Amino acid sequence: MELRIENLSKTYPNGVHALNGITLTIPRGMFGLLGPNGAGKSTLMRTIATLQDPDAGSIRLGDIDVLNEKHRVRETLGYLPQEFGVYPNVSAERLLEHFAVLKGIADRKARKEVVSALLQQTNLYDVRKKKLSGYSGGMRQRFGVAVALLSNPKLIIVDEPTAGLDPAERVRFLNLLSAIGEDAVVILSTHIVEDVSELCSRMAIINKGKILVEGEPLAAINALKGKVWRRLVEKVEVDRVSREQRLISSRLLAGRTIVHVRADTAPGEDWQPVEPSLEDVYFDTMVAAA
Amino acid sequence: MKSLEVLKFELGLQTRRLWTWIYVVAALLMSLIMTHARVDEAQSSGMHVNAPYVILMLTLMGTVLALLASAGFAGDAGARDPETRIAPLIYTSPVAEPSYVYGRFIAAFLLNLLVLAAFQLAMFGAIFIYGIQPEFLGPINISTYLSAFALIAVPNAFLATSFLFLLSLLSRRALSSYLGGVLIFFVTAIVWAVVAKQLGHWDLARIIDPLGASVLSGISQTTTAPQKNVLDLWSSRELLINRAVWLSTAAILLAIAHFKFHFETAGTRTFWRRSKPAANEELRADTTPIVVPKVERSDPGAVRLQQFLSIAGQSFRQIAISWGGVALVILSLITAALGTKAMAHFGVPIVPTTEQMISWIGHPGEIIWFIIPILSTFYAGELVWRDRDTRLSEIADAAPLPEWVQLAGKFTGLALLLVAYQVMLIAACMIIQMQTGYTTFEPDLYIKAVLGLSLTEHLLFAGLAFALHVIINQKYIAYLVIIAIYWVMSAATSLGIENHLLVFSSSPEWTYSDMSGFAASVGPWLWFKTYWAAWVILLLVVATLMWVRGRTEGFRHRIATIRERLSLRSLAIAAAMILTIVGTSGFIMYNTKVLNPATEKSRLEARALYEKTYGKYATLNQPQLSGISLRADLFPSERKAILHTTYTLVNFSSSPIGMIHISSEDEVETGNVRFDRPAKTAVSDSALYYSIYELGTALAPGDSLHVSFDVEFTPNGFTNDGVDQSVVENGTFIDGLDWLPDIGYQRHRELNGKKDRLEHGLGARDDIPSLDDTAARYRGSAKRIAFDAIVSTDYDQIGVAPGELKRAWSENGRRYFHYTADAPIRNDFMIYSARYAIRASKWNGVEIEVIHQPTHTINVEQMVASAKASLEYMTKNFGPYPYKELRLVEAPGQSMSLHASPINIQYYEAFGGLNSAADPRKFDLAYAVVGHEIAHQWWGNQLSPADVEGAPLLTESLAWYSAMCMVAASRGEDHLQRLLDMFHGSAWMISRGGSPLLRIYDRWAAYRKGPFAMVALREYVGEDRVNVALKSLFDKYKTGEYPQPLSTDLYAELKAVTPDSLQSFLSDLFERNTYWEVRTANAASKQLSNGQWQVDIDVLARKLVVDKQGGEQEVPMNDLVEIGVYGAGGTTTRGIELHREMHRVRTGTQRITIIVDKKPVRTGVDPRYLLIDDEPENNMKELQ
Repeated sequence: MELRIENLSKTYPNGVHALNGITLTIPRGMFGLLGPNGAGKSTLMRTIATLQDPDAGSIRLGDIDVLNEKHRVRETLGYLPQEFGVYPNVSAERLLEHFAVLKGIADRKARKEVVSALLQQTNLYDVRKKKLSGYSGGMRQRFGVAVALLSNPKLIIVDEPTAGLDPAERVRFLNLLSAIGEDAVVILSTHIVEDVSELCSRMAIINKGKILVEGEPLAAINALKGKVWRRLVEKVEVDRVSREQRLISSRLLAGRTIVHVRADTAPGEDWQPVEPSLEDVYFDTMVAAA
Repeated sequence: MKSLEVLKFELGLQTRRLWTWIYVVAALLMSLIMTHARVDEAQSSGMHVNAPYVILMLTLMGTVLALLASAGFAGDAGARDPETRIAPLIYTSPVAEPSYVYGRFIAAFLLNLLVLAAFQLAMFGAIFIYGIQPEFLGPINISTYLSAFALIAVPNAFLATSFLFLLSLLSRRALSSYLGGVLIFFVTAIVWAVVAKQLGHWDLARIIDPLGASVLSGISQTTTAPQKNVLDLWSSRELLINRAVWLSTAAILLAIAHFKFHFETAGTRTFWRRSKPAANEELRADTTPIVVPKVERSDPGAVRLQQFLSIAGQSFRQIAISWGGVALVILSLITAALGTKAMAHFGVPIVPTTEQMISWIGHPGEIIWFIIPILSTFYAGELVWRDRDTRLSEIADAAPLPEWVQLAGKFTGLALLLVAYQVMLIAACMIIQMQTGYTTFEPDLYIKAVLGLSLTEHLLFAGLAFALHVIINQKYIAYLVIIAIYWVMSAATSLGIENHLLVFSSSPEWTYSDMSGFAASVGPWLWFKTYWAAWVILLLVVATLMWVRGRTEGFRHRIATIRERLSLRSLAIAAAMILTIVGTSGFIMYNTKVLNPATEKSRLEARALYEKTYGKYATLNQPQLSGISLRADLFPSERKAILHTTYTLVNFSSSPIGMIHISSEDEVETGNVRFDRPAKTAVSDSALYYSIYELGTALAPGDSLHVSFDVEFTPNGFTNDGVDQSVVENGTFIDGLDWLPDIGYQRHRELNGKKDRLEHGLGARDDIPSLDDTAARYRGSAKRIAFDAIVSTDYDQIGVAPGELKRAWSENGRRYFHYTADAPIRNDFMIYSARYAIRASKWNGVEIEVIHQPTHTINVEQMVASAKASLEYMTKNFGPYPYKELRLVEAPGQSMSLHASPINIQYYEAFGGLNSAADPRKFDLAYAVVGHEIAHQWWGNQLSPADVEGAPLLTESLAWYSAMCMVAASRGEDHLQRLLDMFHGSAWMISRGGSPLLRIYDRWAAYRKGPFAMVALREYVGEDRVNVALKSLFDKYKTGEYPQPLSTDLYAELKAVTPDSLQSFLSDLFERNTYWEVRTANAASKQLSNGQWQVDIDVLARKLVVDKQGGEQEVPMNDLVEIGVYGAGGTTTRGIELHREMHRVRTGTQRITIIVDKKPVRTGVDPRYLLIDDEPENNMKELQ
């Protein structure tokens, strides 16, 4: 089963082109969707999750026409939105059970089991009787994960999932996703490059509603091999460098600035070659598109 | 400074919002509509469109409507920051909390005033826009509008804003403001409807009414229209006190906001409790991957029911544990607590039969039942919006279940709440029944009436609210639309929309009675409700198709969604509903337009046309009815009846009569008219039910003829108002005057009311002929008739008609009863048939029978006792009772009014349940009322006054006077005093303006003031002398021959027996509308050296003559008034009488000193309330 997106376009009434002819093929496994804020990630995710209609284009999941057979998609969908709330005055266990019913788990015993297991797995078991309104951001996020994982989804869409998680939670969560990714299509949207580089076998970089790069992270990194150089400069020099070189990124280190530039050969003698990372790929792509 | 910036910013923000201007425009429109309604009103009430009182009242109504705007502004001002989550930025800025609080408050208050000012402006502008005729307009005075604004609008806006702002500020939720608005509305409504009107605590209600509605209601009832036209708005002490109380309350609320509000972000503190700390968790450091258990999804079809139940359960739980659920529980408790009070008539307990209970809680007319539509509107919105409001919608919307399961589940959640409330109400009713020791529980009846009929109406409305919330998809606009629809529903009749097919959920009302059950009332009800249910389901199908899932962009997208979701099944349901709508409306229209084409409007037109066409015959010489002989064949189970009737007509005039005019009735078929001599039809007007027959040979003076006809009643479908319930399976009740034709043109069929007459192009006429219209003494149907009737009915029923039961027999499986009046009767009779029980007794050869529903026995013995005592008293004092039988007959219905036809007195089931024995005040109202009806056998049925002003004095007032004397004679003076105290205390709030007793025609004067005057005469002149006068009057007029008596004839008799010293007092009572204001200003007592006690009483007195318009003129007072001194103990309410004598009391203050033997505890002037004094409670003072 794979997800095929073709020529997807969406323009909001205020004139923003959120999606601009997106075509993507997403195979089974983890797929990372990288892009800055406002790139169109969430619009794309919501559209795949049946919650928004595009102006044009098509999406197919296996033999399902996602835009016209929403119900079939939902039968097999796990969706964790970027932002969501919960009913106040309801306990986690109760609400999760409610969703289990909504997702079609009719058998009472099986439902109890899966709810209990998911609560344990998401480390919410001890607080399962507590009202959701009292949960911290991370706990709420994990609750959302539990809802998304109910009843063996074949298509999992997680929108910025690691934003509210602490480092340990993030690791566990990413491990979980990769485990599921073995037999489902998992789309992870994020603006954190490490999430993608650590997990995803494939990825795409999106900006202003367009796919800039699509492929395997490793291949993209390899393509940059030997083409990234770095140098420590004074702050005042950054401007000059950016005029003279193709500047990929700059960041501060101990009061001075490290700049990465792209060049086929060393731009000068004080420049050192850098082993490229996905971050370099990402910034390079953004600079190229600008 | 910062406060000013907060204020300016808030004003700037709000005035740029569309909502603010929607409120302003709505205020302008509502004001124009409401002022327009006053134009119509002015034509009938005599109140100017711009009368100060009208302006005051409209201003009040404006502030009630503007509660919605108040809630909007105050809620936004108080809770916008936390709700938009900008609070952390605002709260950490260097603004002092009070600057923030006052800045925001003042902004919300000013915006509220802006809306109210728009309302006031439109009210003022309307009088120029509508081009009102000058006679309906008073002097135009801007200061009146400003005064009303200052007295009502400003304080109410201040109170509403401060309360609603406080709520939203402290709870950090704008919603709480809306709930607060609902609360203010309900407190106002309940104070007015329950505290003031039902329980009669007007003084309390005037103070605790937050918006002032009870104060205005009080003013409305105690002033006449001319007084309202010149009312000085600043002169009402009650209004000023109320305003002072609530302005201070508002100030306190604002102070609470000042001190309780702190800059803290949401969640750290809520209004009523600190929120619980967040759930703690232990951090697990391990990073072992999560293993998700594999569970297979079930077959989607099988799981739908569970999904539906889960959503329904969730929804129900959510609303049941919220404030609304609590409110319903509290309301049920209030119902249970109030029930025993409400189940009373003038404070006399009523046996709480299930019939009583369901008519009390089952008909949603009472103002406090607004709670259900308001809750439905509100919770439908909450449920529809719940996922989006809690931001769970993205997850929930992606779940694999169809929209209809969501919608049906949520609607069921709301429906369950309504069911739960109805069940609680039933429980409350049963508690009331148990409290009063009533144990005949009828759970099946409760289920049918409350869970069947009432609940259906609630569910229809909830369904509408639900569908509209989904379709409109704008929470607050949907609220407005739904509330507007509810307003139209409840005001439809006054808006002139009568057709139930046009007003949502409306239908003829169902009725229930122990005797008749639901009779035929449920059938039409069901047709209309089915029609409306089909609409609701159709709307819900549309709502399902338009259910918002995920993101929607605009209306076009939603329409596209419909096309996408449209399935064969939804099409099939929609088609079925459209078919149902077409089918039921077709059937209903066949019934209401084809079978029964008459409407209220067409009836008025027919009456107008009747007058225009045949009014020329008004003075035509016609024979008089002198005998009715009929055979009434009743078929209760088929709801059919046929009255084969023969009239005997006599020419009492001195000229021959060649033409006979007959006016028949529209609710029955009158046919087969035949004379006992050759006659031909000259005019047969079936539209106006008027026929003229030309006799072959004219009827000579003194000669008589017989005319026979058949009057037939057959069930003929139903009308827009339901079914005529005259003939029902059990409890048939036919009013002869309603069915049988009249001879000659009838003035009483003409159109009444100035407005209706004007609209139909008829000239003005006095609705009540003047006392000076001496011709009236020779008009009307006072003539006695011979009466004979055979009533046949189902074999297990008893048929009743006036007269002696000559014979009863069975034939062909039916029962026959032959009645013949043993003396002529006034033409006023009923025919009854039901499975009755009879309690028979006898008094001096008169058979007394109470013919009643077998289960209604509580009053039967009192009725018999009262009948005996009444016959005794009336016979002795006024003259013999002309018949050998006297019956009280029960008819189905909830009315408390009785009707005394000759021989047979009719009462409704409600009166049969009056439980006087349980009245803690220890008097027997049922006994007295039966006495009053029996007295009508003298005052009304024998002596029948001319139908002019003052006529009720000769019937109602004299009947009450006689009944009161009967009570005193048979039960003692104390018993009468307790009854009179109730009469004085009962909460009739009336204006002093009115006619002298000799010209009265209104109920209060007939049933209260008239009897009070007669009772005063009884004490001042003496019962014996008064009765001599009455007997003399009675003897002159008892035959019913022309001329008929007038109130002045009574007055002449009374004058003849009144000593000279009291002639002016008599004149005060009858010839003028006199009010005495006597009260005890101070009273003191001291023991004298000889052991006796000296009592000093400072009496303040004056006397006023009040004209019809309410204008008061003080006249010098110099009257004999009783002074009483009472000691502790005794069985009477006032104590042991130590002294009671007439003293001369003059205008002004005077000290009266009295020596008594025992220790006095209370004293006062006019202790027995003999004078016409509308504040009798200040007559007495307790002694220290």
